[in-house]
Amino acid sequence: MAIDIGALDKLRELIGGEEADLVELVESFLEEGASIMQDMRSGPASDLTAIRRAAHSLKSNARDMGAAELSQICARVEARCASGGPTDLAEIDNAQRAFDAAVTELRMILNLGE
Amino acid sequence: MSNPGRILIVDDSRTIRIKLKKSVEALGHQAAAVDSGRAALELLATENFDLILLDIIMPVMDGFEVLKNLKVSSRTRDVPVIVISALDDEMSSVVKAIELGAEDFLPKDFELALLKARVSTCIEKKRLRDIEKEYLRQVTKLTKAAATLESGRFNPSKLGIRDVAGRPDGLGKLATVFATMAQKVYDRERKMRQNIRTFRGALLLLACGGLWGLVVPLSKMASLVEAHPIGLALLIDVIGAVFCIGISMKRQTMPRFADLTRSDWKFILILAFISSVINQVLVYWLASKLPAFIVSIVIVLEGFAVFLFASLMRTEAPNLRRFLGLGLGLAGIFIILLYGEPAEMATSWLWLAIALVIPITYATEDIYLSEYKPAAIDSVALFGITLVASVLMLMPLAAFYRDFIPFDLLTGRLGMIVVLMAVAGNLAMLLFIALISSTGAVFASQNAYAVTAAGIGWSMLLLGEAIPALTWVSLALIVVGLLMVEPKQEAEEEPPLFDDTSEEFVPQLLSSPTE
Repeated sequence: MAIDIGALDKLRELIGGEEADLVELVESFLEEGASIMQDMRSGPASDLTAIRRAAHSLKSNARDMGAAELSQICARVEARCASGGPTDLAEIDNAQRAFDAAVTELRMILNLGE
Repeated sequence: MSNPGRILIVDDSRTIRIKLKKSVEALGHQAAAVDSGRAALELLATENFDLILLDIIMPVMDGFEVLKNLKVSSRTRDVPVIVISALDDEMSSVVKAIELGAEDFLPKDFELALLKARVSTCIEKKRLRDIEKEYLRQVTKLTKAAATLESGRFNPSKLGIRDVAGRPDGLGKLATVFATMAQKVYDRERKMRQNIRTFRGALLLLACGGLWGLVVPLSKMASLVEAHPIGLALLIDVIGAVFCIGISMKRQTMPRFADLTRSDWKFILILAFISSVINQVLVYWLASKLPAFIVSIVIVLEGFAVFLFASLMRTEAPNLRRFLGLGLGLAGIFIILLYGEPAEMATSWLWLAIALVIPITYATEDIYLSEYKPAAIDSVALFGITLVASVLMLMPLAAFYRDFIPFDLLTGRLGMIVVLMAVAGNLAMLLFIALISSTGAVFASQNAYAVTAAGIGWSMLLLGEAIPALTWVSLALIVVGLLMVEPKQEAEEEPPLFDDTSEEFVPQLLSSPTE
């Protein structure tokens, strides 16, 4: 399982308990996450600041959504950039796979369309 | 929610913004969210917030930069900031943010209870700080008001401490007591100044009246030699003009003719006409037809005429006390009229009727002087120029009526009388101009009582008449009446408005954070 259901429940409770609000939040994550992944992959591997900021942002969002694996990969990418690189391109591929898995599962859990 | 606040959320991640906004709204607060430090500062410049939730790592302007900017402006300096951070690797950032003035921090994956506790505490602290700031602001207002009071120039209604006095606490009580005392001091000082004005005015008035009163019996004496009312006025004005212009040239107060405006000339010509051509000639002429004390008595009616004119023109406030004062003075005069020497009057009722024009023209002169005298020109110089204008007006009249005083008459007793009249009349007029400028037309018009009283006195003295006991009673009435019509209240100069716009005087409880 790429998603921890307990984390999603906790998130729903945090924002007031409304399912519609949770859906709005998850949809925002799907959209923003895709954009961040795109930034991480398409930008120059040497731009450590940009990759670090992208990884940092995705790390926190992934943790909120219960996507523990994605969050951990992002933390590693961020730490590597912080310590001066170079960027581990294979790790970014891992992140993409983990993100895709999280997206699929979140859509399924919340009955979201493509 | 017992204590809802307005919270600003600053984070570049849309997802985090939505999460934070919905979370604090679920706690009952109001929230606004922006995606950059720049947008946050822009919003804070126009809107008030009780708390800022601030992300540290943001593009372009990071959280540290935002914190530094917040501390610069007095508007945002005291808005508490909670920084949002992913605790795992950002502990040093949190420390730095707190050193820059952040109130607290919140981990990105915060628990609901933690969010609730930190937000509530911060808002509560902000409220207490606001109350404290307001208190300090009002203490400063009160201190400023005290300093203004000490400076001596203040208006109690403009000390700006009304809102402080409205406080239900000790400071409010202090402000109330202070405001009451300020009002008392103000009233006392005002009263004192008014008394000084009345006293000075009364002295000036008696001096002026005493001199003027001399003019009527003197003109009677002149007419006993040979009656030349126009010629007499002409001579007296020439002497006055020479003196006034001489004094003004010596004091260098003479205005250049080019500086005199059209309205200055209008004033000079009108005053010359009323004062010299009408008043002077009329008094000198009637003095030859009526007993001097009767002319003096008629002059007292000037007070009533001025009071009526001033009330009609609304230049001075009529009130019962002033009206009674004038009435009392008038009563004094009537006692003299009724129990004085009625036998002498009976023959002259027609002349008496003509004499009634004198108080009316005197009153016109009073009002005209008090309302239109050009303030920029020195009084002596102005009067000198007016006398020259009078001479120019009287010349053709004297020529027409062949009323010049023959030169050989002037070498005798008449010459002496003319000199005395010129000194007394012109000096009285100068004192009168000073009196009218400082006390107003109504008070100055009481000059007429003094003129009358002095005229009667001088008439009896110079023309050898006895003073009956009743005359003294009437003089007492006149003096009491004089004190009841006090000078017009001079408008107090407006003290500067209390300035409560600056906010920089609020002492900072937090020491300025340094990097």
